[in-house]
Amino acid sequence: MTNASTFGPAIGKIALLLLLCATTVAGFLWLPAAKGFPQPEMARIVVFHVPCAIVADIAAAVAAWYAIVYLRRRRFTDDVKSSVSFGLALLFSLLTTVTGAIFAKSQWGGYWNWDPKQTAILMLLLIYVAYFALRAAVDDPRKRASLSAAYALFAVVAVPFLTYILPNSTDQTLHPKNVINTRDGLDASYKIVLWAGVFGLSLFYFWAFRVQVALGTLELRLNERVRRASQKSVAHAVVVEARK
Amino acid sequence: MPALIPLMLVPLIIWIAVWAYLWSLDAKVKRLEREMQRLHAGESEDL
Repeated sequence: MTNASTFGPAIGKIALLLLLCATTVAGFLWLPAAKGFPQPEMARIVVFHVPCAIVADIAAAVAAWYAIVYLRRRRFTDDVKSSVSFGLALLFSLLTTVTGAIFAKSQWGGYWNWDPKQTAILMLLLIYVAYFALRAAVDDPRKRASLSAAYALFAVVAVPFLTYILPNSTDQTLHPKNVINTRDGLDASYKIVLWAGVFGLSLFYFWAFRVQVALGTLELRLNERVRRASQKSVAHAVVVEARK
Repeated sequence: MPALIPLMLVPLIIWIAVWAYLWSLDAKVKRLEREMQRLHAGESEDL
C-alpha cells in the first residue's frame, strides 16, 4: 500500500523539481539576450521576477478566499488556510522584490530607485507584515481568526491597486510596461519559459500550502486534545474533592 | 554566456534546497498524521 500510494506523488514532486531546474537553465542558457534593455543579458531575470509576482497574487487571492470562508463558517481550519496562504504571498512578494532589485541594479543603476512600482510593493510588504503582527498581538484564537480574516480582505483589496493600477497610471516610471503581453515585447521564447515558470512556481506554492496546512491542522487537533485532557483532569479533581 | 553559469547556480541551489525541505516536511506531516491516528485508535480502545 505504501509503495503504490507514495510512488505517484513522489514522481510528481521529482517532475516539479526538474521543471523548475529546466526553466532556470533555459532562462540563463537558452534564452537570447533581451533586446531593448540597457543590459540585455541581465534582463533575463524577468522570467523569475514575473512568475514570483503572479504566484504572490494567486496566494493573496487564496488567502482572501479562505478569509471569506472563515467569516461564513467560523472553522479554524479555514483560518489556518488563510494565514498559510498569506505567509506564502509574503514570501513570493519578497522574492519579487529581490529579483526586481537585481533587475533595477543592472538596468537602472541602483537596487532601489523609489520607482512607483517599488514603492507600491514596499507598501504591500508592510501590509502583509502587519497581518502577522496583528495575529501575534491577539491571544484569543477566535478573536484572532476573525480580526485577521477581516484584515486579510482589506489587504487583498489593496493588491490590484498597488501592483497594477497605481504603477500603471503614471508615465513617471522606470518599470517596463507591456513587454510580456504584446507582440512587440520580448522574444516568444521568453513567454514559453515565463509561463513554464508560472506553472512550476504555482505547483510549488500549492505543495507548500498543502504541507503547511496539514501541519497547522495537526497543531489544532493537538491543542484540542490538550484542552479536553485538562478539562477531564479538572473534572476528575472536582469529583475527588467532592467525595472527601 | 559562460559568465552566467555561476549566477545560474544560485537559483538552482535555492530550488533544490527548498524542494528538499518541503519533501522532508511532507514526510514529517505524514508520520505525525499516522501517529495521531494510532493515538486516537488507542484512546477509543481504552473507552
